Amino acid sequence: MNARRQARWLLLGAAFLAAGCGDAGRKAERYRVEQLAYSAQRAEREARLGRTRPDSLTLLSLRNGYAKIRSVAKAPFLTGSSEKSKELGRDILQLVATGELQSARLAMEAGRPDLALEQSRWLEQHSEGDVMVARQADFLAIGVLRMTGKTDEAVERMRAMVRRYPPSPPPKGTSQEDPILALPEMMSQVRREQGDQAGAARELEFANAYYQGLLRSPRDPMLEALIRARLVRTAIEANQPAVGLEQVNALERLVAANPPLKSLEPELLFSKAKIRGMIDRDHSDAVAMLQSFARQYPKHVLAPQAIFEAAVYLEDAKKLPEALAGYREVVALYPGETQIAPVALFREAMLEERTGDWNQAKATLESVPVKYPRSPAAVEAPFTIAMRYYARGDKQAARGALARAVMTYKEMIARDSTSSLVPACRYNILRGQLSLGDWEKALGTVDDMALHNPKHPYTAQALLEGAKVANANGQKERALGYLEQFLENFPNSPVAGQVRQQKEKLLH
Amino acid sequence: MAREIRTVRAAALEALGSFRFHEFAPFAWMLAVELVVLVLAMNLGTAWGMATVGFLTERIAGDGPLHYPVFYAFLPTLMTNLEAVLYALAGSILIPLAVMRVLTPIDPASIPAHGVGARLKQAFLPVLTAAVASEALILGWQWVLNQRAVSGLIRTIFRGGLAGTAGVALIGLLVGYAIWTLFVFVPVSSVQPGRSYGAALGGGIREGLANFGSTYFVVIGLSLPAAAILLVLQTMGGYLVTQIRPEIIGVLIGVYTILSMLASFFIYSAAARFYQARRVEAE
Repeated sequence: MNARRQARWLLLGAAFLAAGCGDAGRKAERYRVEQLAYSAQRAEREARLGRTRPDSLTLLSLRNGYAKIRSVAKAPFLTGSSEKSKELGRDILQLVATGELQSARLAMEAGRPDLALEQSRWLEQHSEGDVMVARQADFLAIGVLRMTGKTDEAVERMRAMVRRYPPSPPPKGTSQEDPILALPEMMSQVRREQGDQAGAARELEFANAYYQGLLRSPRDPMLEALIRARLVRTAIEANQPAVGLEQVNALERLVAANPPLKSLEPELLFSKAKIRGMIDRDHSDAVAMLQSFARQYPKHVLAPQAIFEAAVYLEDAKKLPEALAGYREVVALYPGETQIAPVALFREAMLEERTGDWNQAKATLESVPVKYPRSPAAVEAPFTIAMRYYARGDKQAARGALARAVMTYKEMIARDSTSSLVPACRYNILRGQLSLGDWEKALGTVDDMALHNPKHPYTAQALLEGAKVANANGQKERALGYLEQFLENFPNSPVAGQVRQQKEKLLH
Repeated sequence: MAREIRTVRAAALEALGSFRFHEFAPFAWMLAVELVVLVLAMNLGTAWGMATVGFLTERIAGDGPLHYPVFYAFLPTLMTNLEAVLYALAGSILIPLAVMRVLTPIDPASIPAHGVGARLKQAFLPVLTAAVASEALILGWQWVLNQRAVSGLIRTIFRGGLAGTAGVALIGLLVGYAIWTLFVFVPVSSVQPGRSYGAALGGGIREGLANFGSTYFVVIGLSLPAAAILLVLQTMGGYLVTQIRPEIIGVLIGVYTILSMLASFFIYSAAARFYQARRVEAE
C-alpha cells in the first residue's frame, strides 16, 4: 500500500470517528444498561404472571436483576469532553437510578427496607449533582423511613426536600404537578395517620407558609396555578374559608387570563362548593354545588369526594335516606377509590343502623375489611360491630364480635406486617383482649407494640394501659418496665409528669 | 405455455439438484457480509458493535433505534436496506459471476475462461440498472401499500385483526416478488456474448415478461421458506420484541437471510438454465 492510499484510509478513519463513532463506548454502555433493565423487567413480569404473589425469596432474586444494573455502568457518569457524551452519561445515570428505584421497591416488598435504604444512600452519593436523581434518592429514603416506622425522620426529610428543591413548572402542554408540591400536605397526612392531630395542624401551617412563600416570587402561570390550588386545599383542610376564598378568586383570575389553565376549572368548582359549605350554616347550596360538580365531571379525580362530602352535609342535616344514597353511590361508582370508598362504606353502615336496619349495617361493616383491607376503616369496622352490640345491650353477641375482631386484626397483620395500619390493629387487639379479660394475652400485645412500634402514639397509650393491667395482676416489675419505656420514648408527652409520679408510687 | 411451465420447472429442479458451492460462492460472499453485520448488530452492547452497526443505524434513523429493545424492531429495516445496497452494488458483479459459473458447465463455449472479466464489465451496468429499477418499483409499491386507503381495504377484505395484518404483508410480498420476476432474466441476458447495455436490459425484461407466469411460479415456490419467515417478521415483529424476546428477531433474520440468499441463487440459476435452453432451442 503506498503512502497516498494509507493517508486516504487514515482520513476515512478520522472522518468515521468525527461522525460520532467516538461515543460508541458510551452508547454501548447505555445499551447494556437498557438490556439489563429490560431483562429484569421481563423476569418480574413473568414472575407476577403466576397465580400466587411472589414470596420474599423470589422478590429478592428479582431485585438482584435490577441491582445488577449499576455494576454494568461505570461511575462517574457525567464525564466526557463533548456535550453529547455528557448527555449519554446523563441517560445512563437516569437508567441506573431507575434500576435502583425498582430494586428498592422490590426490597421493600420483600420486607427488606435496609436494602432499600442502602440503595437510597448509593443513589445520593452517585447523583453527581443531577437534581432529578438526588430527588429520587430522597423520595426513596422517605418511603423507607415511613415503612420502618421512622415517621419523624421521614417528615424531617420531606421538610428538607421542600427547602432544597424549588418546584418545577409542569412540562409544556401538561398540568402535571411536581411531586415536591405534594410533600407539605403529605407531611400533615403522615402526622394524621399517626394519630397526631396537633402535629398534623402544625404541618398544615407549615404547608400554608410554604405555598405562600412560593407565591412571593413570580412563577410560570401553570406552576402558580398549581401552587394556588394546593393553597386552596390546605386552607380548606385547616378550616380557613377566608384564605381559601381569596386563593380561589386569585386562581379564577389566573385561569381566565391563561386559556391553557382551563383544565383546573373543575377543581375550582369543587373548591368553591367546599368553601361554601364551610361558610354557610345551611349546607343546601354546597350540597347542590357538589352534586352538580360530580354530575358534570363524573370522571374527575374529585368526583367521588364531592358525592361523599355532599352525603356528609346531608347526614348533618338529618336527611338520612339521601345521605345513605350518597354513600352507596360512592361505593358503587368508585369502588377503586381506596381513600374515599372505605370511609363511605363505613358511614353507610352507620346510617343503616341509624335507619333501623342493624342486620344490613352489620353485613356492611363486616364487608369493610374484606373489600378494603388496607384502609383505616377496615381497622375500625370489626371493633365497631362489637361496640354496637354493647350499645344494644347484647353482651353475649358483643363478646363474640370482639373475639372475631381480634382474629380479623391478626389476619390483617399477617397479610401485611409492614402496613402503617399495623399499630392501630395491634392497639385494637389490645382493646379487645382487655374487654374480654384476657390479661396475659393483652400484656403480650403491649410487649409486641413496644417491640415493633416503640415510638407510635398508640404504643404510648398501650404502655399506660399495660402498666395498669400488670400492676392490677401483681406484676409490679412489668408495670414499672412499661412506665420506664413510656418516659424514655415519650418524654414530651403532656402526661409524662403523671407517669413519673405513678412510677415513684410503684417504686415505694 | 404448458411447455414453458415444464421447461421452467425442469430448470428449477435441475438448479436445486445440481447445487455446487463454486456456483453459489458469489452469493455466499454477500451472505457472509449480511451475517457479519447481523452478528455485529446482535452485539450492539459492545464498542465494536456500536461503532459499526450502531453507526450505520444512527446515519439511517438517528439515535432513536439505538436503544434496547427498540433496536430489534428496527433491525429488519436495517437489514433490508443493507440487502438492497448489497444486491444493487455487489450483486451487479456477483450475480452475473454466479450466472456465468452456472452456465459454464452447460455451455462451455458461450463463456470462455479468459473472457469472464470482460463479460462482468459488460453485465455490470444493465444488472445495476435492473436492480435499482426493481428496488425503486418495490419501494413505490410499498408506498402505495402504506396508504391508509389501500391497506385499509386489504385489511377489510381479510376481516381485520392479525389476519388483516397478515393479508397486507402477504399482498405486499406477492407483488414484490412479481416486480422482481420482471428483472430476473437481466443477469443472464447481460452475460450473453456481445450484448450492448440496451439489448441486455431490454432482452432480460422481455424474457421476464414473456415467461412471467411460469417464472413467477418458480420464484414464489423457491422463496416460500424465506417468505414465511418474512411474513412472521412483518406481522409479529412488534409482539416478538415486546412480549417474547427481542433477540428472536435477530435469529429469524439470520435464518431468513440464509434462506433468501439460497432462494435467490436457485432462482437466478433456474432462470439461467431456462434462458440458455430457450436460446439453444431458438438456434
